[in-house]
Amino acid sequence: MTPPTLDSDLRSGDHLCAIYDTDADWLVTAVPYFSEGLARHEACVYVAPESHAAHLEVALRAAGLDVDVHVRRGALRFATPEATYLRPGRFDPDVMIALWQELIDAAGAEGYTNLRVAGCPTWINDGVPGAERWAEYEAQVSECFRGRRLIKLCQYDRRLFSPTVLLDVLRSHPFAVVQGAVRANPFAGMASARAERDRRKPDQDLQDALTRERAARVAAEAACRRKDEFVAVFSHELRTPLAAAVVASALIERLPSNDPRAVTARAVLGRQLEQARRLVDDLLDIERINTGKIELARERIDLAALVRDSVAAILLPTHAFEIDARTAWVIGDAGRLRQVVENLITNAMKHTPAGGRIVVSTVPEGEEIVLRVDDSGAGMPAELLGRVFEPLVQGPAPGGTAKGLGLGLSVVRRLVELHDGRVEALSAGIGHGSSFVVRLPAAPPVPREAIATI
Amino acid sequence: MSNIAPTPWDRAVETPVPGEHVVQMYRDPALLVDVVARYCQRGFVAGEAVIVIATHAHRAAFARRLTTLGTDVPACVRRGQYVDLDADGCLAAFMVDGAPDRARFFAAVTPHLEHARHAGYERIRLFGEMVEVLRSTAFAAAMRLEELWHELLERERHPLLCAYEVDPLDRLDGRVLVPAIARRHSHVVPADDPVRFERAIDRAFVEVFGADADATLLRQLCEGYRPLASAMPAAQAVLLSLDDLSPDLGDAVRAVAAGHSAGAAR
Repeated sequence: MTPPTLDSDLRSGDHLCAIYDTDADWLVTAVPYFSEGLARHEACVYVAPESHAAHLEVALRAAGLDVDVHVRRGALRFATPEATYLRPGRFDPDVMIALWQELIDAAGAEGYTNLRVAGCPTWINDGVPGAERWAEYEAQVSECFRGRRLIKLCQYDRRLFSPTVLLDVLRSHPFAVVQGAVRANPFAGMASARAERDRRKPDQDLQDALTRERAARVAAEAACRRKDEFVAVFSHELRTPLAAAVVASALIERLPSNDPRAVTARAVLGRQLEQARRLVDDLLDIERINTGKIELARERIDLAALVRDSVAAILLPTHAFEIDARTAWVIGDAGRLRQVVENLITNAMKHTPAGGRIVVSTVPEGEEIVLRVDDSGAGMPAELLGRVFEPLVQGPAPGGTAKGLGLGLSVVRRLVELHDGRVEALSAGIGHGSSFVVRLPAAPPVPREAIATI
Repeated sequence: MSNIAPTPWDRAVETPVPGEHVVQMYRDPALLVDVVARYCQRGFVAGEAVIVIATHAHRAAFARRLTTLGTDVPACVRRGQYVDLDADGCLAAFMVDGAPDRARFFAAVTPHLEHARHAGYERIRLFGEMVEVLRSTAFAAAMRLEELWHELLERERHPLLCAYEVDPLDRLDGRVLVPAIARRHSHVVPADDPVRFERAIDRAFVEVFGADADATLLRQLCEGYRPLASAMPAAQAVLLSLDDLSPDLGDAVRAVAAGHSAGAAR
């Protein structure tokens, strides 16, 4: 390859470095480099700290260039490293190469023959994140822009860079500027110390990375499928009560208000909207818990009283309820614990045929309070016990599989865990009923002095 | 030969009461041939005359099917008990500017009734598919013709069976054609297989509205939502009500039911 001379022969794709010892050396290279570029109608960009740029500007004026005109036309631009190499907040070779390509395209669109760039990357010595990839970047520039409309001059002050960096620089530039003239670089193409070390690394690293990447992709795809499935089931579950509500509402609109059918339709409308609301609430609760947006208003609560209230609120004649609630103090959020109790009872009712038995109990056991909901319902196979708290997982119900998203038990588990407790499902199998056992830390006893003050 | 099980709707076809105006909807032409042949044969057995106004192809198919059922068709024709007329020819006799002319209609049809009576048949069954011939190109004219038939039945007190090749589970047919046709008949048999039709609608209703007690209540409310002009299966009444209350949900039920019906047919 015949080396180009600095002032006339540079061509598209040339990538050269200049290592200088004094400011005068630097300007001896930079001034003819940009003068020639401007004369050849190339878009010129100088990337360096503002102090460097000011020096260059003065030198260009001294060489007879009308800097103001070129700047005004956009043919000559001065840019800082922060606005280019470090624009993302760290140095990323891929981002930078993409930026050069953008600038090449923009220059082409404005009618310039090439993009001619120069710069002093002193910032790589400042511990900037990503700077360790500089040598890799320089090699990529030579590779990516070979024959493309970019001419790039990289200037290095020998006083500021370590010999290792300078050696890597020489290896990544096909041409070097020596005393104002461009020379073929004898070091170009030689492997850098880092590349040599990397090449000697066993393929195992690559294999490990590929394996990790594959596993991550499989996990992400599975999560994506679960999400799609969840959205599909949720949409269906929400659509059903909404469809019923739409028809009930249309009936109410068309029938006389005192017509018994309108009264029935109003009741249907209310229940279906309530069902839709519960679905959305459960979903929002899961999201709030997952993102840590639920804050517990902790207070001292008698779980037994809370159980009695909850059962009274949802007591239906369809099932035989028994309550064995012994005083059981816990520290927790009354509203959320009530939600736990109600979800467990609703779940028992859903999976227990009419006439079946549901027993709710609270018992202190050592340092724990045990809340149990036992039912005589459909029961569960052993393989379901561990999964029944996951969303979309449903146990058998009388007459088939239960309706809904199975979010209620997910909410239970997450709320119990927020209270530093745990919950488990028990069943002797299908047809043998189920039990849900919640264990919460018992509230510490109230100090005697505190009692005395009450 | 179709293998359709007897349903409560067979009565309307086999032993119609004088003055009844029954419509059979079908997708499979073989079903039409089977239904009309049964309609005619039961009439012959009951000592009634039958006047069929049908397309050329259907007239031949009816005769063949009647023969396989053991009817001596030429003998019935000779006795004046079986009169089969060409639908296009009859239409030409009373259509004026694309619409049926009332006076010409009565002038075209009444002589055939008189002829049957002169042959000794006081009770006469009618089958007509001129409305189906008109329906595809001039739906309004077909519906006007139905009204003229209705007027004739009021006066003459004969039963009439009509047939339309429409699919109540198809969106357009179900939403537009079926309600218009149903309004002009005393009995509506909405499908090739009424039992399969009912089951398909039942399943679709559960899928769209849920399987809980409220969905059952809602279905009952839809069935009895408004008085119907004609007798029809409960499932068809539910579809008509849904189309009135929420056309989109009517379409949703029809679409799901069509899938179930096709699955059951396979």
